[in-house]
Order: sequence, then C-alpha cells, then structure tokens
Amino acid sequence: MLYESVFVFSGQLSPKLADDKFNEIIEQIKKTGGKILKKENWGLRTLSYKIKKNSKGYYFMINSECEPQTFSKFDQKIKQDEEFLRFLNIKIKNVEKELSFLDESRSNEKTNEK
Amino acid sequence: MRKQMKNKAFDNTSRMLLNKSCPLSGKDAPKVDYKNINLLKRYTTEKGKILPSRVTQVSTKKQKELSQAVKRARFLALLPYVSN
Repeated sequence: MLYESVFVFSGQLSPKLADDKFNEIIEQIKKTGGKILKKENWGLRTLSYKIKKNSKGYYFMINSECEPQTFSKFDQKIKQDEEFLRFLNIKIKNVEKELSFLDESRSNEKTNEK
Repeated sequence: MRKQMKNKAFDNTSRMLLNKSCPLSGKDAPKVDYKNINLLKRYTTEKGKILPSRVTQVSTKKQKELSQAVKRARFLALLPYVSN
C-alpha cells in the first residue's frame, strides 16, 4: 500500500527537536518493514487556527510503502504527546516525483524570483 | 443564469461566470490537491466557505475532489474552518 502522511509538531519546539521527532517516526516505520519513498520538510508555518494552544507548527510529509497496521498507533500517540499536533494519512495511487507546493526549498525559490 | 447575475455577493467571481467550461478539467488544468493552498483559496470565500459549483462552473467530479481537498487542508490548519 502506498501512503502519504503529514505530521505537524508544535512550533514551540526547536527546529532540531522537531527534526528528531520526525526521524523517530521514520525509524519506526522502517522497523515495521515499511519503505520511505519520499521525504519533504515544509518548515515552520503559521497555523490557520490554534491547536493545543499553539499558533505555529512544523510540517513534515512522507510518502511510504507499508502495511496498513503501521499507522494505527499514531492516533493514540497524538493524544498522549503534547507536541504532536496533527497527523493526516491518505492512500495514494502513485508517488509524485516533483516536490509538492509547500516544500520549503520550493517556496524559497518563489520568494527569490520576486 | 439571470439569477446568478443578480447575486451581487459573488461579484469577485463574475470573471468565472463568463467561463462556461470547468476550469479544473482538461489538459492544462491544475491538479486539485490539498497541498495546493493557493488554488483552494480561489474556490473558498473570504470567510473560508467552499464556493458553490454553480458560481465557479466547476464540474461535479472536480467539485467533489475540491471539497475533499479543502477539508483535508482545514484539518491540517493550512486553511481556516472560519476566518473573520
């Protein structure tokens, strides 16, 4: 199964800590036999509304190939973890090679052009 | 058509009214995706509501995709549920 997952961590964390949390998740997926096909860092973004009293959040996205059970634990984890704000997981049919619209490196390009 | 013209609340979309075919179908149409916030913003009101397809001329198939995409973006706080 191909999945696309987005993780949002609290903006009160330092960038390094957020990265660590993201890597932790990736390792967990790898441990359960999943393959990471694509990683994206969307950076620190302002949230449209407050989540758990946070107004900013670090966004990360991965495309992966793994078993359906792999993600079942994450929902529980969000409830326990104060700094884990959101987790969206959707099935996809194919992995897009291009970077998505929100990737940090891509948004930097746009601002440079202007 | 007359009814739509009378509705002045949607003045900002009058440009869309002239375009009879669906702006999201066809070869060069942008892909509807929850990550493409700029596209989604064009199909929501200032308050954050999804614009009806009779105003934007989006086909039924694409409107379904659009609504799914907006809801995903809202969940991730990329778009607001309500904004003032």
